[in-house]
Amino acid sequence: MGVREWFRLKGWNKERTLMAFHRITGWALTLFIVGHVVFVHEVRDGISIWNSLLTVDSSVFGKVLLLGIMMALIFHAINGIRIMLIESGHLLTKPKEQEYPYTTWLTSRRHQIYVMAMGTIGIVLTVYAGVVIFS
Amino acid sequence: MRESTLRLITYGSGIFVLVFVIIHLIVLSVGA
Repeated sequence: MGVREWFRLKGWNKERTLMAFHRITGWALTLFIVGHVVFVHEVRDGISIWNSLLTVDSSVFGKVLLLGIMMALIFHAINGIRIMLIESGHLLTKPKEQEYPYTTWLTSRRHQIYVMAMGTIGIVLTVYAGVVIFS
Repeated sequence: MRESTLRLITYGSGIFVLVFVIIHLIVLSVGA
């Protein structure tokens, strides 16, 4: 499976879509962290360089970019916790004999509730981040 | 390395980074 497969979301189930976003946001956050460290390191080059960088940071483009990074961070964190809960068995259904209609843990009530809560918490945190960044 | 050890390192580092980022955002919040 190549990288191109990550972006082909049609026909995918919820788990695969969330995993694709998890990978994409993971790479985006890695790039941001490297850029962020380099950015902060520029303070050594004097106040004029630092202030010119802050101008980019306080521009509308900079703020939108920062909000995008915050959205990626919030999603990656909440989805990461979901993955940990699945791995530890907390979001899985109890093993039982398969009967028609077959159900999987993916469509189980517990997992559905977590995904709904994940969306709600994510939206609330994103709105809060937006208010903090743009105010 | 056993897969369970690798998983423990992955999740442990994930939780560490998450806690670090939360503290970082609180201490150095935008506009503060």
